Amino acid sequence: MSATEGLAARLVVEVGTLEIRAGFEVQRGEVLALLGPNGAGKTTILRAMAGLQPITEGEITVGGVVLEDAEGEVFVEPDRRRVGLVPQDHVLFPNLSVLDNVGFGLRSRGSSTSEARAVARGWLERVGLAGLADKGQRELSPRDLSGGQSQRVALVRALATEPDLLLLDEPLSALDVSTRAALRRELRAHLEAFRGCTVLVSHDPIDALALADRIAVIEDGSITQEGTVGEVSARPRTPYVADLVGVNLLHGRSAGAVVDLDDSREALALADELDVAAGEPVLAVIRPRSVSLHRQRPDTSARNSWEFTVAALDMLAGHVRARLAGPFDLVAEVTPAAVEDLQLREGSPVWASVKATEVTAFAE
Amino acid sequence: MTSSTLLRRRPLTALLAAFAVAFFAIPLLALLVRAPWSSLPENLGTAEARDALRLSLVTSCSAAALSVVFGLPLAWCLARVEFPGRSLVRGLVLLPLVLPPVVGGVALLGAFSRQGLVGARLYDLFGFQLTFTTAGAVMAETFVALPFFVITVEAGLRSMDRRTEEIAATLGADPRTVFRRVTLPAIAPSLVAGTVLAWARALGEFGATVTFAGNIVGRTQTLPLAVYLQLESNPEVAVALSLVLMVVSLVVIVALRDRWLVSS
Repeated sequence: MSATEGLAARLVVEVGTLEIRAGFEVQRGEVLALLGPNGAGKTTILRAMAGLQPITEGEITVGGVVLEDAEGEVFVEPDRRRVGLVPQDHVLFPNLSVLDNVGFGLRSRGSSTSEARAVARGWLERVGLAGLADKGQRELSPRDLSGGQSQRVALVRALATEPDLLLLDEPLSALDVSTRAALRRELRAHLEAFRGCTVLVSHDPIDALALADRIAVIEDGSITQEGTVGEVSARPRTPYVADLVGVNLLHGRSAGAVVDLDDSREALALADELDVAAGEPVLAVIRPRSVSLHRQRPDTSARNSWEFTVAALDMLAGHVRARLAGPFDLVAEVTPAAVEDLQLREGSPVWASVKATEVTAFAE
Repeated sequence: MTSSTLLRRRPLTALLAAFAVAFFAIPLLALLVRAPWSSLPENLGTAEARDALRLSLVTSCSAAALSVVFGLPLAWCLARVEFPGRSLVRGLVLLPLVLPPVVGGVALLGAFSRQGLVGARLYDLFGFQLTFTTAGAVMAETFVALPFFVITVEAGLRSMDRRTEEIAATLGADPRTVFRRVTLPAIAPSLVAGTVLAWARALGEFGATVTFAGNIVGRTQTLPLAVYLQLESNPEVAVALSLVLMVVSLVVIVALRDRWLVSS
């Protein structure tokens, strides 16, 4: 991987008594998700890349240009870094209109007011807020916006400057569930169109799975596992990673309240109708813990049940991850007692079922 | 608790509180009752009164302006910069709030009189002296007014959402643009309150002014000094001028009521 094209960061940051060490690279057009529990230092890493928090060791380069080098004492001020930061709770400028919020970066970089406003209007159009911004005589203020609208404005405020590096700090976590799903889809479209490097910080694995190309998991101030979404979810290396992203990812196509799985003839029943057009690609997520195993065909309300063969049994800190082969691959997490009970061995047949309510599906 | 329960269950508390209210109200009422309403225009039209009014307007506005010019950078440094001895500097700035103004005047004399630490040099170099001049009166007023501005604005700077400044910086705004477009609008209410407070304090300043600048009609005799002096020779003028100061104080309180009277 060449470090000259995108972002290359190798850094140590100290916050109080916590020392955070991280090293990662992000190519242009790529989205890296920094995933970890609250207080793991994810936000601090973003702040360091934006120049809001000095690093004590290491180096940050974007496109081969050194932004910060602790040893070489290079420090590019935040206003000269060409980064876009989207915080968790939007942090719009309360005294400026919505339009001027979006135009702020362009104004600061030398555009005239009318230029900045024209570009800002275009960006607001893309997130469906242009009509609102021009509503009536009075200019729309951030106070008039809902949470989801504010977050959209914060996103386009960052994108409007066409940054080299887009930093998203838990951009969806302050929103309610339905808004979050809608904004996640929009964000995905924006990130696909964005040509710079993106670093997304989240504690929600769904955000990472839906938005990121690669995942780096941070625990206690350092990265414990890094890889593509598929790699990390298939082979979690620590109990925390297993818990967080060691999930079953099933690709399929939308069919109402059902997902037709790509790699098999099976269909996955969902609790609710998908808001994705029929035939469109969908990603379904099933937590291994939600998979229950049975010796016979289960006689339960779970509509999703299939017969598998145990391919492998991995012990992981008190749980057993049973990797199942069948109509498609599935991982189930069970207790050692259950393994005894069901007499699970490699190669033994087993029925697995998943409740429709335990399947999360979203547009891919 | 409603007022009737207060009287029934806590009569002593109610009584003491009522005394406190009366303690404030009676002198103000007395001022209104004793005011020579019919001769008010001619009392305020006397040469001494007109000089004092004009001088007070000039000096208090100058002191307020100086407080903004020097106090805003100081408040910003205290709120935003971590430097050794910051709490010491803050203590120093706040000292005039509790220091008896006369002592402030004596201290100013020690520093800026013709024999003072700095004043002697100023006189040697420029033949310039501050004592017994209008500039001296402005200086004495600024000395007591500046702390009001600094603490009010520093509190404003500390309570605003600093992340708006950080976001502005990531959007390419240089420090000056951040201050002008983000910080200033956010602290505007504190800025206004601080300026009004400093101005009102400067307007009422007596001790430091009379000690440092003296009591010269038309040059350093501001409203409070005139009130004190006229009380002996011409009490009606003194009361009339006191009324003016009282009305100004009332206006200030009403203007800042959203800040003080509501939030508790």
